[in-house]
Amino acid sequence: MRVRLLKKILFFIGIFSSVFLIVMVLLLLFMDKPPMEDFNKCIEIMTKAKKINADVYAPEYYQSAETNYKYAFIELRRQNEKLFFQRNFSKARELIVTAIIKAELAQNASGTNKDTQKARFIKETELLRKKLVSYHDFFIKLPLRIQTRKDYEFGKLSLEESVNAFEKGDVNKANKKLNEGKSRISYADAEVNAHLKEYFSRFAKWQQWVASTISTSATNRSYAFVVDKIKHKGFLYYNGKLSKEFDVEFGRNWIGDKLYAGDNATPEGRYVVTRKKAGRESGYYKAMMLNYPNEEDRVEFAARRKSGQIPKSRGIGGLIEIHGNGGKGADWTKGCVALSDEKIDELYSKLSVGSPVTIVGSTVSLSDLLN
Amino acid sequence: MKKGLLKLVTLSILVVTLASCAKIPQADIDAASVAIEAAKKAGADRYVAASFQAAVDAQKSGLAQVEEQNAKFALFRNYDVAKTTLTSVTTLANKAVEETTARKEALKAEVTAAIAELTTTIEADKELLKKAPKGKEGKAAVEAIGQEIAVVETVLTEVSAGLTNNDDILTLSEKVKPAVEKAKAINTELTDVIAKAKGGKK
Repeated sequence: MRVRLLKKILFFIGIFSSVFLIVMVLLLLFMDKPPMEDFNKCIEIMTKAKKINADVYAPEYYQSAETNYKYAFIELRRQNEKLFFQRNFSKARELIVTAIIKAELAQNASGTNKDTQKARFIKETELLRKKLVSYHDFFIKLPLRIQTRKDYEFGKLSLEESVNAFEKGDVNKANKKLNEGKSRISYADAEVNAHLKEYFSRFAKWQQWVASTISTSATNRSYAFVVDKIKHKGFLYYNGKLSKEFDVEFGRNWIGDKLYAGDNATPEGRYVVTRKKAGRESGYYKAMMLNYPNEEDRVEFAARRKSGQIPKSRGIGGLIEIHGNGGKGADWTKGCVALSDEKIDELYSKLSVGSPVTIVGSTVSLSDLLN
Repeated sequence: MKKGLLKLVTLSILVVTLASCAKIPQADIDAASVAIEAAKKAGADRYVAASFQAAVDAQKSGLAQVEEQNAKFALFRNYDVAKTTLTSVTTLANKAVEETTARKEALKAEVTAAIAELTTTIEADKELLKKAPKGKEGKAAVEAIGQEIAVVETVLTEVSAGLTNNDDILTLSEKVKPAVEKAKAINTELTDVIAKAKGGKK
């Protein structure tokens, strides 16, 4: 009896086990499989993309690939925590396929973007270098603030750091340093440009003065002297033709017109030699006094004083000369035009009382000057 | 007797079944994560980016291999490959930390040498500046060069302070190099100007 019961139980267990096994096998056969091949493929593509700096050159695609991979992996793990017959990897599959697409896009875009960024970087650095060359060759002569000069120098160092970082492939650092350099140089440039633009607003008048002076020289068959402050040159004309060039020096605040006595600025205008001094008469070897202030200077001075541009206590100044003791390579006078003793000898012998002397900011336009 | 035998067989099957269920290599997963974090904290991602990335990629592969096994029926799981990969992550990350330390030491030596070179060059520049002639470019140029030296000197001060304060050595290294080049360029410029002036006096 017991044996029969045992046999019966074993039979049912056997039947149940067989059915269970068949069901399990069927479930295992048809259960959703995880997209492991896609995961491995994605890792492979992302590694390749990273090697060619896709994270730097195609950051949006690369970041998107990373994010999609991360969520795909979380989803894979979430599904794996479920009972095997409850798993559904469709979401993980969708995410990992998106990650693959983005990684491939990052890989492809990286090369193109690298070239584009390189071209842009070279263009921008060249532009900055050009500005720095202009500064070194020309702006260095301008009476700029110390901070402005420092901005140029710091800008230059940042630019070099940027180029070094770019050569090493550290584009982010290169861009950061380039922007730092740009910002410093632009800051300095803004001051220089504002200075020059305002200064060159009088260019038409200067041109007219110079033309008139040369014309007078031609008409009278005489000498005339034109002083270009920006170039730091004096041009001697005879009979309307350029005869000789001289290096000249001015007052410390040479850029801009003379406003009042003691401002260390050299006046701009059309003058004539009123007196020639040599030996004991001059404290600067030889000198030729100019008729500063002339009538135009007086009118301008009165208008500026009226508008409050010049304090009431200030006078118009005077005693502007072309004199010797120059050749120092610096703008050191109190507003006069200085030449070396050797050169003043030469000029002194050519100019006489009544000779026209025209002092202008520049004989060439700002754009010509910068180019 | 038969009942006892049946019990024994059932128990044996259960033990074998349970024993066959491989365990997730959690310790290896954790060790790999800790090693990667330590490498990142050491700055391996910046100093030895390629080595660090190799460790990160290995970690990704190892975790994917773990999930590949997790997806299988418990009886068929085998984490041996995943374990090997995850162990390699720790090795790679530790190697990256060692390389980072070595790279930092090398950079520190480089920066120290650059600071010494910069100090000497700036001193030399200052001496040359005193001898510089007031030629055509004259005083204005000399003043401008003086300001250039002042800027380079500011960088020297910043880098020296950074080294003392244990600031990021990579940043210091990148900062000091252009300054050294600039100081050398000033030196060359001044030397040339002085030589030309001497030549002109003959």
